[in-house]
Amino acid sequence: MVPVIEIKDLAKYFSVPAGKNLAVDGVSLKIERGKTMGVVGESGCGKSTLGRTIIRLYEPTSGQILLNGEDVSHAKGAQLKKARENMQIIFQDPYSSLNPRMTVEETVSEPLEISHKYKSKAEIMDKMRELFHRVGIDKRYRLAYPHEMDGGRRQRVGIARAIALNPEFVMCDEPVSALDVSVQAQVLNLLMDLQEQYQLTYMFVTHDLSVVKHISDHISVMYLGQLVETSPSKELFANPLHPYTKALLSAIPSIDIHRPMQRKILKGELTSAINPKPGCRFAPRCEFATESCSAPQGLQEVGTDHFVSCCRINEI
Amino acid sequence: MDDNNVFLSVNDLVVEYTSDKKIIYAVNGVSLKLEKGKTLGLVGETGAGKTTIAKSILRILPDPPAKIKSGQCIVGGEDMMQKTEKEMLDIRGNKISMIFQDPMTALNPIMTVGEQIAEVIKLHDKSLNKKQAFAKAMDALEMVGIKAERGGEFPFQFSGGMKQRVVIAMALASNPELLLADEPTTALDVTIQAQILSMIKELQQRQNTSMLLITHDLGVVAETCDDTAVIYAGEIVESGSKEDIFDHPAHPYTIGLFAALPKLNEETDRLNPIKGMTPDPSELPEGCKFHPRCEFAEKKCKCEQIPMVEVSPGHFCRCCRVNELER
Repeated sequence: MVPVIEIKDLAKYFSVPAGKNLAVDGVSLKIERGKTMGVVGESGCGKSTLGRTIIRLYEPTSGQILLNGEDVSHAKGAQLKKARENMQIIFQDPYSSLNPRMTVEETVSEPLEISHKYKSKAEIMDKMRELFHRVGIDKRYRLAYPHEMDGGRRQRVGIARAIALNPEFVMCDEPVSALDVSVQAQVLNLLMDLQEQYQLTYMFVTHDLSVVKHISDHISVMYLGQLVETSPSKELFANPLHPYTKALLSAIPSIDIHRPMQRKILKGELTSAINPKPGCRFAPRCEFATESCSAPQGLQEVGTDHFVSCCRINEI
Repeated sequence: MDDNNVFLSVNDLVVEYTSDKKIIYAVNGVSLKLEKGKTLGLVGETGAGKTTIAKSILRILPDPPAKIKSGQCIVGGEDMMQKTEKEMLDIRGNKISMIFQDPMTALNPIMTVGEQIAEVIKLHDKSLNKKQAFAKAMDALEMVGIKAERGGEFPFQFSGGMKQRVVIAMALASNPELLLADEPTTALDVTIQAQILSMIKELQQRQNTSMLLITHDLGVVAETCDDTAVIYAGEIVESGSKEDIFDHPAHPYTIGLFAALPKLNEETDRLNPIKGMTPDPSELPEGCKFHPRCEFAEKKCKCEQIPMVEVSPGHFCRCCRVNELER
């Protein structure tokens, strides 16, 4: 089966005064229909840029983006418009991603009107009622403005807008990070219900590892623009191999007070992806780093669908 | 808890905000106790009143719109509410320090970090001259793991984690007896969070500081605190030792919070959210503030003032059905 999304060696560089910021640097992955790919990493690792480049909010510097097998990496005009109907985004902050001067109804109906798929106002209203029902917004909020709603409801509006045109692929950019625990669970359940009903394909970008484990089938770990490990979700948590993945997983505060984590505290901090040296970008913080780590690295298969980018993987 | 060893005790604190003629009931009769050298975790969701409590202890709430209606905040035997503003100036940053949530905005962007820390030190020890204060500031930087030669740099040259270290260095520079840490790691990544939490704990143990740690993250509480208090809509709904709260949660809200968290070591198909939303603090429900969202709510939950019940020694719960419910 053709994966809904496949990217090959995708790169997105930004020019900055100090040189080139290699925000996304040679990332390849594919996501099958109805599945969720979780992308985790620390702030500044390029995970949001990756997602936004895939749905063509940024023009990729190089590499390919295949949507249902069709190359849309540099699509323009009608082809891009068609591709975008099929690729949508849910943003992190429901406080700033909704237009404060538009009512809920205006926000959700806008994509319906732009698409020209609906012939009359009545059809649009019907579709909108259906959307409200699907995401669980009471219809009395139809004419409300974003400031009249709490975070959970706003995020439901964001979701309604994203799924309005029945996209196949939805890029979820930290959709629950701004929400409280009790509301976060409501929104996560909604996303999973929608996926089941409409066979949606998600890319789920987050820094919250317990959330990503819960929702993803497959997880990719990013460090400074590159994938360091990608694996089925269960396998990654059971058998993390890259030193960075291990440190990341051990840093999660556990609510189990009787089994404290054996914590690996990383020294130093995420540096930047501006003019990086060749070789492993994690090496400066890695306790196992040797000279061989300064050679260029690549992902190697270590198990079924489990890839790691570390040249010392067999020694440590 | 040993009552003789209590260092901070908040008694029946009530704080209200006025906005557009509406009254916002932010803190409604909160009592807390923290022992010398221990850490109390105050957990709750956005708008529950956590930060308001910390700011009340330091008396830095803007009045208006905020008004401390009643209550005591006793720190080391002295009630902060009875102090004059002049006396408070001497206490803030000296006896009591606060770490704010967002290190990006807590620092002055046009002063070097060294100068900022030295300013705090000099303010509290007037005998020092500029040079001595700066030298002490450099010691404080080294203490939090930043090389002293970076003291001449500006905040924008530091990453988020390092800025938070600077804020912590500033808060601990004058060896406070009480540290109010308001979501000190919320703005940071998990690997940096782990660094900062272990550093705070180490410094706290070395100086025998008492700490009130405010957070919404139960994982952070599990790793750093001795005692825990859960706050909902401006009321403490449950309090006790960490073991009481994590092993035997009693209040339906606390139980709901744990159930709503995705677990790392469990496979679940769907999470169990708490239904509904936190109430509007200007229109709080009568009786138990949690009853509209509680699956066990009964008639009596809606009309009575619910008292704290001691469910086991030192473990308190504000639920009138706690003894009827199976846990």
